[in-house]
Amino acid sequence: MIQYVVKRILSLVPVLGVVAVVVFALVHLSPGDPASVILGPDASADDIRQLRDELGLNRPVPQQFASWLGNALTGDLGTSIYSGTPVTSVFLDYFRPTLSLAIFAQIIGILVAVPMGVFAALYRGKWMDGALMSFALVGISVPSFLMGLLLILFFAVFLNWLPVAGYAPLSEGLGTHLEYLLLPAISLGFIQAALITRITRAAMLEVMNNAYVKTARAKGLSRATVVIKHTLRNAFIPILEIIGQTFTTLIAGAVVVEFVFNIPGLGQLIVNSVERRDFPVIQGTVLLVAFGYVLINLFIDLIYGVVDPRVRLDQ
Amino acid sequence: MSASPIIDIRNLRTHFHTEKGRVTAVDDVSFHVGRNEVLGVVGESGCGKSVTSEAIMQLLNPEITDFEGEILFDGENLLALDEARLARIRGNDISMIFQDTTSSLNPLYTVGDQIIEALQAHGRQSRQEAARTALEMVKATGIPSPEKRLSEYPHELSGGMRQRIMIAMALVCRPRLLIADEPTTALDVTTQAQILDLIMQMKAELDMAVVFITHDIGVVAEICDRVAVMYLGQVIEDSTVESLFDAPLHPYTRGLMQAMPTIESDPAEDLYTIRGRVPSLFDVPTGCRFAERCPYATGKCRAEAPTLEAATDGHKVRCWHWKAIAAGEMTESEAELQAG
Ligand SMILES: Nc1ncnc2c1ncn2[C@@H]1O[C@H](COP(=O)(O)OP(=O)(O)O)[C@@H](O)[C@H]1O
Ligand SMILES: [Mg+2]
Repeated sequence: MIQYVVKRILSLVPVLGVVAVVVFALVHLSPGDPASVILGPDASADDIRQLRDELGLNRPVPQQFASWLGNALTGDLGTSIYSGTPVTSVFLDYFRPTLSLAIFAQIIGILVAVPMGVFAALYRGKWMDGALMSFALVGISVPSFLMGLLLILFFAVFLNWLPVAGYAPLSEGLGTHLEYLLLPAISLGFIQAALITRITRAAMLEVMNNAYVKTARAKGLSRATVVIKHTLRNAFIPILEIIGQTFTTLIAGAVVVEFVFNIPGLGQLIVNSVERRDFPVIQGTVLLVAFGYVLINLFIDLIYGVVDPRVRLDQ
Repeated sequence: MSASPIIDIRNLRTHFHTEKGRVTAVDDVSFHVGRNEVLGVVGESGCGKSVTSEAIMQLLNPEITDFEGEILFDGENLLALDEARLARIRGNDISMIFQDTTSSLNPLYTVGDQIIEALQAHGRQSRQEAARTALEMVKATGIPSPEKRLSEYPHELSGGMRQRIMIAMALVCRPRLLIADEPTTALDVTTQAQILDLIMQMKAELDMAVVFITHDIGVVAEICDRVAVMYLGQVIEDSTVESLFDAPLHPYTRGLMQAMPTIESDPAEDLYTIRGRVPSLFDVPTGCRFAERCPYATGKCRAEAPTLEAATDGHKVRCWHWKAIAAGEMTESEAELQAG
């Protein structure tokens, strides 16, 4: 197992290297000079040249990249041009709400979707299957911002059960934190649930065809044991895979939902930073999100190792 | 063997609802197996052997399957039982082993867990007791270093070892009937022989009956007491092994025997094969189902379906002309023509 973990971690290094190059290139090759944006339209050419010097923008691009990467490796992603605070601390401030939202949405998605997918598979071709799969289709078709607006209208404005928008950090108590997050998490989790339902159903149907499911029944196991222990657990492997792969769409969706619910998350940070040409923040944020993506996938690979002995034992 | 049979199948029909319509995969099959008896069920691939055995275990999807007839296990009709009662019989009174050795065990659990699970599904044994029983059973199958094997996962074992584990798992609750559906087909010749020996040894130890399904009539001669030969969903000959190998009555059975490789047969020479192919279930002949492929077929064969009749005591055959063929009054005219 340890060997497997080490191997998985080492394989991430080149991925992160490529990400670093791409992030840097994107920011530096895109039009718009940070110095002139920061100083405004009335700035003199001299002022602009001076600020560019201070920002290190006049050095050759490879040199800029090398020093950025060198600092990044020591955990220093520079300081925000706009606020003067370190990029890492800006990132963490805005990352917490997004992470809370993504995790909450993912949990809702999984809790709703896995049972739905299992029942759809067990009642394949029956009305139950049809109803669940139509629900999933709706989930995929309704954009999350629309879903968010409808939820706000009904639960916040009409029923007045939950806050309309905004965000309360965890420090204000878990109850309040979740109260604010519930509607955004449902809007975001709905699509996720739709996706996972389909995958769960397909994975269950495929696993059911395996000879070992027949063996399990031939042993005289109860239906519940056959379904949960000998079908669902095996189906979890493709389900996990989808959860890992959709992490980026989940974050992208979070950005939209944050906008609807006015949550100060990564979405806001990125939009604001792009407007301000705050390139250290943009670079740093994208790099850290990519890093997060890679970490999540590592984590999922490790769960594979726990679920599936073939992964753990075959090096 | 005069006592009532352990399993008595009476006029079993199994229909599947498919997208293209209803098919009858098993059509009026009757056979019985005495306590402690080994019945061989032989026939080419697709003739309904697996469907029959899974009908006994009630493993077929009830949504698309209809049954007619009776499957009496120890006097109780399995077709009339509810799922809970069936679950108590499966693995406890009737067990089954399968052809596929690569995927018949769940890859996510150790083989030990999977055997213990079978025990605990039926007994009130504690996990420790169950683990001990499982170990004894695995030892009995002759696997080398059994303790170690129990903590291994299926993919760490060879095909032969997995089949031994399947046998241990099937027999750990000491069932009264074992259904072995082509258990050696996926194995190499040496392992095949070992697995056959193991099944016979276990049969003697546990005092159980065996339904041994195979497409290899040679295996039948070695281990079975009685044989049912199936063709396109029907039993076409049912006899003791001695009587069948002494004097096979049905042209299909004769064909299977001729197609069997023997030690004397020259490997360079092509083996005899029965000409033609098994008809589709959507296109079942109105007369004798074997007529199209039969070297003795007459107009009557093509028009009218024969019934399974008793030829001698304990030897039944489904053929219009068995008497004439046995007496040598009919010749394989067309077959010779074919060979020439
Ligand atoms: N679920 C099913 N739906 C339709 N036809 C089936 C189904 N299962 C088996 N059959 C058909 O029943 C026939 C007998 O199959 P089977 O019992 O598996 O043959 P074998 O003698 O090789 O074990 C075959 O023609 C097969 O196509
Ligand atoms: Mg078969």
